[in-house]
Amino acid sequence: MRRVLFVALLLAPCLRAQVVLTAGDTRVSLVQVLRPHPEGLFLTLPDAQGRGLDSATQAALEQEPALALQLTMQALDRASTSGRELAALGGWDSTRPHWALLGPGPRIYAEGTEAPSATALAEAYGRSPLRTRADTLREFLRANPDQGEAQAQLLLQLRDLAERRAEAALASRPKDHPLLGDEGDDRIWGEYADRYERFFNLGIWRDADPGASSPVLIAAKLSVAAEHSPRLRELAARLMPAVEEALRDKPSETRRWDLWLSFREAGARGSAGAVLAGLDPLPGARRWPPEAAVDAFVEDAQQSGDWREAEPVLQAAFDANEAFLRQLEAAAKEDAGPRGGPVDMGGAFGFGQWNGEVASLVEAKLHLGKPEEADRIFQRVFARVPRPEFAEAAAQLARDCGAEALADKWARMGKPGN
Amino acid sequence: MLLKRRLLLFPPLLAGALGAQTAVQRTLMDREGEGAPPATLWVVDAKGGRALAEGFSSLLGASALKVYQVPMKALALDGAKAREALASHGLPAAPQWYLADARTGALRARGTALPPPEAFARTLQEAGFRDRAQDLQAYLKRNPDSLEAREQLMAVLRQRGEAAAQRFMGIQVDARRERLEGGDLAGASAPEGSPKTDLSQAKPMGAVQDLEAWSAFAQELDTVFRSGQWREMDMAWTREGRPLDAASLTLQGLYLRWMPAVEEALRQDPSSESSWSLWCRMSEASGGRRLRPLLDSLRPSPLTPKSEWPPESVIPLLFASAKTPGDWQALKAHYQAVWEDGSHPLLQRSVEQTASSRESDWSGCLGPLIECCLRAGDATQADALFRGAMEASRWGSLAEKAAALAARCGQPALAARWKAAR
Repeated sequence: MRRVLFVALLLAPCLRAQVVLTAGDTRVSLVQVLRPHPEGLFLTLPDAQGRGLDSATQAALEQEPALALQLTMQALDRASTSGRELAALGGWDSTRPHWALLGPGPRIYAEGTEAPSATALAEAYGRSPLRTRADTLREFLRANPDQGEAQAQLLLQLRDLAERRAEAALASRPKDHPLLGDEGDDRIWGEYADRYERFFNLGIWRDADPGASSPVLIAAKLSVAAEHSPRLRELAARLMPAVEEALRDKPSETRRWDLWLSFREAGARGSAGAVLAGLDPLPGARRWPPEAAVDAFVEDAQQSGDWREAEPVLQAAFDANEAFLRQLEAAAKEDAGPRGGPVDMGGAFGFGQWNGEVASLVEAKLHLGKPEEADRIFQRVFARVPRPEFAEAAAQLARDCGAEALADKWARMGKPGN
Repeated sequence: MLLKRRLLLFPPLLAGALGAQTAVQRTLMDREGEGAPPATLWVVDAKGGRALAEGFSSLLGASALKVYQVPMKALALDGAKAREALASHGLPAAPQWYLADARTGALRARGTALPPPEAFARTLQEAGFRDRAQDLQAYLKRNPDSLEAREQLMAVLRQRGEAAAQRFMGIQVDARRERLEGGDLAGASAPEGSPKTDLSQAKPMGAVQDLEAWSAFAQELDTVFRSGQWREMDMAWTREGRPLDAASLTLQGLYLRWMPAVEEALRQDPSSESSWSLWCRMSEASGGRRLRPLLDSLRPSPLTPKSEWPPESVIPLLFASAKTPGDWQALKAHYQAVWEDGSHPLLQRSVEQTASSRESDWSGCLGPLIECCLRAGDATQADALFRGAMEASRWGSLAEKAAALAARCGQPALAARWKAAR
């Protein structure tokens, strides 16, 4: 879940309406600001006193009916090249702040000097010849229905919009009924669910890595909000067998585990141990279960509270890393030669220290009543990189697991003088 | 996991930071692949002699032993390295061979004379060497859907095919990774195979040799194309393999048969790096299908910026195959978009611009754009681009570089004018 949220955060800037200050690079021209936005862009320019309409325009864009446009807003600096060009294009003086809808050209399609309403922005856009990204993709896909990259791009647009609508709809529901009603579910998630299934059946999510900038991998994962949608829960349950079959064909592929985790978060049943049951490790495999499955085992344990399956997997990962670190340090000593200085590959490159994977192992040990082993592991990694924040994090983890004595001991280790 | 991601960054990082073939670098490289050799064969010859090393080369190349892919290091007894290596194992300073464990460095076997093939095969097996292809084939019989086993089998068979083809052709072609391991950072970042690969200088392979070298790999590739599994497989050899394919009629025939399947995959995902990598490898080897018609048949997403179409990985091939003014116009549109998209060191006179940033702006964008203009017959635009950059950057080397480019493009008058602009 944490990783999904992280990816969502990474994507947020390119998907959501946002304020982007271009003041950092004052040489950027208006044409350059507009180039990545053939769908159009809302721009604001402050008055001479620096009063602007950024917040008001942004707030309006986040409300229906403007929300559906999924447009970006940028606040220009009056002293920047693009700001000066915009003022000249609109023939604006500096006595009042402005907002404007611009399209390629550059051309102004609508403008104002008062805070705009969501309806006003949507109407202004409707009167312009501009097309939203989603509409452009829909039209393209009517002519090219099997173009998977465009399908993935449209899915990302639809997912973003639906998540924002679902958030608003769920805010008004009681917390013990976190599911959307049928009508709302269909309105919010209907098109996404239909198009997701078509995309899934096209099968390109199974293809070899299309590259880091491809939308296919990100779109293949179900929305982080899918658990609140009965329709998406049903979809996830129905498609899960195909995901698990794909995983069994390639259990070392992180992308397939990520997809599986997103289905599980949407409510589909499954456990990492069951997926791998009956599979043989590859001849000569150094790790089994594969490294890519570690997150899935941890998620399973966190969900069920049963750490018995995850513990040996995490222990094997820890042992393998420790052994590798020893090899690396020996190699570094060899490179340094007899007169070489101290060698600390772990400290130098930031691994072999307290991190998420070690924390999960310690958590497993604590849940399984093995505090001595937990302590040994922490002592080993803390000795390597004794940062106070690591001791604090470990102490907090111990406290969360009810191991107060260990928590106190580790907290003391992080204090100056210890 | 996090650790692995960090480690993936290490090899290039350390290759630059620590120099060639450090122990750290070897350790990191070894960790990357499963099925790494369990031991290294060290061969120490008497001063001025090569008898033992040559004997082992021929022994390991024999069909019974080559499946083990034994890494061999040959040393001369009078060298410091040999003395150090022998001393570290407590061995006498005399001609000999020994097998050292890849992980622990421990001695696994030793001798002073060339062993008979059967005995040495047993020694290798006892040291942990396996016929990886055989192991993987046996695994695939039990698990026919395992994509990972197929990927690894394909890698092993490719490696064997390359070794045999090089032997038959009497050439040695470095793979990118080997250049990196050898400390050749510039060579490692150059396009695969260049500049050492000139297959026209190699001995041509006969049909029997071609089959002996490539039939196992070709058969496996054919199998995964027939089953459709190829789309899900990481074909690392398309990026890292030695570019020997053009010398094999077996591979050319196979590529021509299956290129339409790759093109179909590209129609579904026109930006897929893995599909392009495979297509380019097939196209370069077979020379049978041109890129331009394929690009014309693809429908990139309407959200793909002009500067990202065609995909970056295809551009070198597009450059190499451009012939008509139309080809150059298409390339020009791409570079024009790249030029207009970002900010360019060659359009700024800021003191922050270093020679290397201007250099890379020239070679990555302005140079190709000017070349496209010239070859497409638009000298006026080329001149305007040159003058704009010259005026903005006042970079001394620009005039020289642009003049050389104009001369290469058959524009001597322009070359002279640009040279004088300095």
